[in-house]
Amino acid sequence: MDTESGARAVPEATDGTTAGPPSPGGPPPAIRLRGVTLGYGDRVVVGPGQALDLDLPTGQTTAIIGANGCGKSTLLRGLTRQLPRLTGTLEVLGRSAEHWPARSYARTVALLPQSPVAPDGMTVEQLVDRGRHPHRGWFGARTSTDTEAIARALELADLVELAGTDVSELSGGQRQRAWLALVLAQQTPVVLLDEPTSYLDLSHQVELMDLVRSLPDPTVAGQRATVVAVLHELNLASRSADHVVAMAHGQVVAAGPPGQVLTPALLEEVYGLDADVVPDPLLGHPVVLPRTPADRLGA
Amino acid sequence: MSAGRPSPAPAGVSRPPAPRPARRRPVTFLVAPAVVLVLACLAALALGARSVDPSTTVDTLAGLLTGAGTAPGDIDAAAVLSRIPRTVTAILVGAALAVSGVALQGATRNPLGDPGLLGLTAGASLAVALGLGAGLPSGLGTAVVLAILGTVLAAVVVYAVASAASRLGAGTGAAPGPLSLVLAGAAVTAGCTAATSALLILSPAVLERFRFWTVGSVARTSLEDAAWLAPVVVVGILMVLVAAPGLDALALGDELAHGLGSRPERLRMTLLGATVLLTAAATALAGPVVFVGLLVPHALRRFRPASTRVLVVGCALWGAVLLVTADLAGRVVIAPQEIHVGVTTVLIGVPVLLVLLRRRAVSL
Amino acid sequence: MSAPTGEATRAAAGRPGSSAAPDALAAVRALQSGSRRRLVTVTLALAVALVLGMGVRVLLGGYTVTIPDFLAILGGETIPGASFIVLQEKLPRAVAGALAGAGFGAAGALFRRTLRNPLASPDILGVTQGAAVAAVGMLAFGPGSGSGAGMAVAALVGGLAATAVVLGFSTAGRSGGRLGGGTSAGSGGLAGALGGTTFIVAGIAVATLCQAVLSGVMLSLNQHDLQSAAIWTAGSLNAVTWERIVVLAVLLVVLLPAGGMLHARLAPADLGGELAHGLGSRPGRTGLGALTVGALLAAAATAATGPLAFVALLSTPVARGLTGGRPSLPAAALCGAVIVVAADFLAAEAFGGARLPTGVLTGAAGAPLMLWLLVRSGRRS
Repeated sequence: MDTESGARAVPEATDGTTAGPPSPGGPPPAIRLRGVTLGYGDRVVVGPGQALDLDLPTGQTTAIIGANGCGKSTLLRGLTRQLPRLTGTLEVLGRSAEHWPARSYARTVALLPQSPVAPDGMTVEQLVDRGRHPHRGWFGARTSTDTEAIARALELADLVELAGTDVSELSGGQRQRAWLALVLAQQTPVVLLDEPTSYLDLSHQVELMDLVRSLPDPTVAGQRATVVAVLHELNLASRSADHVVAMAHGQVVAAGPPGQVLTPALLEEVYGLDADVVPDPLLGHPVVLPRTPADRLGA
Repeated sequence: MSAGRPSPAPAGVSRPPAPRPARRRPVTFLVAPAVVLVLACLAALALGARSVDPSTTVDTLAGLLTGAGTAPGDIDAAAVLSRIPRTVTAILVGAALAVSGVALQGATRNPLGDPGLLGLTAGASLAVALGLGAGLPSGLGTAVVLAILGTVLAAVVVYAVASAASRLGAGTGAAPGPLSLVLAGAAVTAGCTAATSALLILSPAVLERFRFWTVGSVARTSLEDAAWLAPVVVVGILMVLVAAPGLDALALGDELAHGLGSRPERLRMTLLGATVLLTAAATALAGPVVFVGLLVPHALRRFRPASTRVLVVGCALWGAVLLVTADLAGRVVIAPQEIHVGVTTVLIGVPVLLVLLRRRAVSL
Repeated sequence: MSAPTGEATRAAAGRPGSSAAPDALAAVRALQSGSRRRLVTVTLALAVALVLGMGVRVLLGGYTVTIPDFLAILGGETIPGASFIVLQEKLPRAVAGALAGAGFGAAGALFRRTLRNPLASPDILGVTQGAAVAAVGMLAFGPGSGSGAGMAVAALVGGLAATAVVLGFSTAGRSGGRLGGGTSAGSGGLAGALGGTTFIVAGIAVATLCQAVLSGVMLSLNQHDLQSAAIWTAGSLNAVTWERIVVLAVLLVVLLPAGGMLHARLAPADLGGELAHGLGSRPGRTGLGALTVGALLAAAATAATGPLAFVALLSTPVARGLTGGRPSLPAAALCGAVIVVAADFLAAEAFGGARLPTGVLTGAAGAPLMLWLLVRSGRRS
């Protein structure tokens, strides 16, 4: 039941670089953007010049990468509808995002923003409980469903023993897992993460992304959640993501599996980075090795 | 990154900013306010409940200066003479408070540095009330000493609390954050005001003498008292002038300032000491007058003075202009009733602060 | 297809078992019932404390009344001396104190939750001062003098106007501005302004302005009015009449439930604007409503008793301390009521012959407490 509303006529992408996943046999994309531009006031941040078309695959983990200021976070805000689209349409799980009530949308799409701040004196359980807000009615009564969802989220995030602990007493890695548990309690098929691994140690980064990657879809048995994460670290993105979207200057420069996107040519274009890319000896995903001219001369 | 090719500019980056306008010459800063001050004083002497024309005013003043005196029964001359004490007081108080604002803002690295906002004025008032309640003689000398004590105590409390409250993650020598200072100042002000009210109610003797102190006014001081305190004000301003060049370095943080050859701790002590002197003198003269220390430096900074010393002198002059004009306006607007300067400066100061906030010209 | 909820559809991919493990469930249930029980206990205890406090206020002190006498007076019997004191002085003061305290406490809870700063309360941000200056202005220049309803209306208007000015000057002209302190980044516009520090500074500025105008207006009152106005502006229960109490009670009956609902709906906003949006709430709009109701509550209380300094500020931290960090409007309101009744008792009885205005006590005691709160807020981070 596709309802496209209000879009101006926008040319479909014809150069092939911004199209979604190539496989026609798989499930339809979870998120579909057509002709989208996003911006603040009269400044267009995403889609200047040519409006954006993008498909994000269902049941897979997508990493959005790009230099500072390329529009990654803006794109994410467009997906949560916090930033209204200037042009174009957004479809989530086949349904248009126009006229979708806020709470109902929040039961489909969840967002973990960058550097969230917890109010004082909250335990982990109370924090995760906040994630149930979209499922509650006017008077905020707690039901047994809520309790189960919270317990499940705590389990997935491995925080059951810490459930009664004050959030401010957790370590960095544990705290980020607590925020993730809040989002998990929301029980959405689509999860958006804005730089979830900032300020985390490397070991915690890997741990968190592996957890993210294994999240189940609460609505479809046997399927993983659709995760879209804005990531800063290229090698983390390469390791954890099934699908990578590279952005520069508000445009999508490439989209596809990590091996296809993370090439020296693309890294040069997106980051101005001179790098070698080699396959990881153990896991096979591409690993980015930056080089300076001095390195090259010495070799 | 390869050095040969510049990295592509990220979306939304603007061109480099245009070069800043050149700094104004000192003459503009010093001559203009001096002229305006003279004119304002003349107006303040001439206008009021009974307006006197300019020539009579000048004649009276000339007569005073040459010692010729005035004819008895000359009502106009008497009116002019009666306004001299309040005008002189206004000059002193305005200059003192404006300069104390500069000093406080520099010492605390806080754009909202104003002795009234930070609770110093309320502390001074409470100290004077306490002294009167304890039966001390109510002369100006006692008032000044008490005011100094009160200002120091309030400053210590506010600074200590705000330092403890700020996030000290900015490294050593971090000044207390502006918000913490303002909040601590609000708390101290409220507490001191409450204590003062309690005192006024519990002790009728204090109420008698102190009732007029609840609102700042330049009408209560005699010329002798003003002359007595003038040296204190001058000393305070001189202290700030001496410390002025170090203010720019202080703004960079204690570590950097040290590296640049300043002595931040000494500087800060000098500045705070000057603030205490100036605030105490102003409060002893006129009671609680607030916001002058905030308004004048902020307004002047926008004109980019050539050096901090020039800023200080400019502040003193323009502060005097502000108070003289405020007093004049208060006398004239709803004549024969009077709006005291304590109210007028707030009536002007708060809207200006709000506009500054809205334009985010005051960075918090 | 939207996401249906319910146990039948919650199946984990790649994990054995189709629902949460029993010990996880048990742990969550235990925590939830524990915190719920604590909240109920605290609320009940506060209510009991309030009744006791009011009893002490009415029955004890310089002039004591026995319980049988008290009940007789309530029943309509006239006991010479005691009747007058109870019905015209002690009882109205106790009732007014409790009601005003509840209003201040609730207003403080609403402000604190919306502005996400423990020190942001209506008595610091100019609401009570705005209400006070409007009420005194009405007294000095308005028709009639000191009628309960007239002053109440003026106070409501004044409090709302002050809040509107503060709001208007703290919403940045363009979105995306940097706000200082530890607020959630990036959420410009109303939600961002409400969580920012500009709001607080603007509030303090407006409070100072109102205070100065108030002092100025008071100087123009005649001697008789000046006396009572001076005491009223310090925050006092001296001038309460049953008429004013009725007006206040009516306002509270309307505003408290509205405030309670808005307070609960602000729950996602505690987490910052972005996350709140992601949870399907509209923190800007709810916050605006909460501030309006809070301002009205504080203004209504001010109309009856004058600005009682710091009650709104202190009720919320005390309440949260008792409930273990859980925000609760009823607890804050009850805390405020208890504080005012206790302060009123002390102010009337503890200083020998002199009867201090209650606001002086709350101001003098509240200032060090606020300073302590400030210090504590820094230690935490």
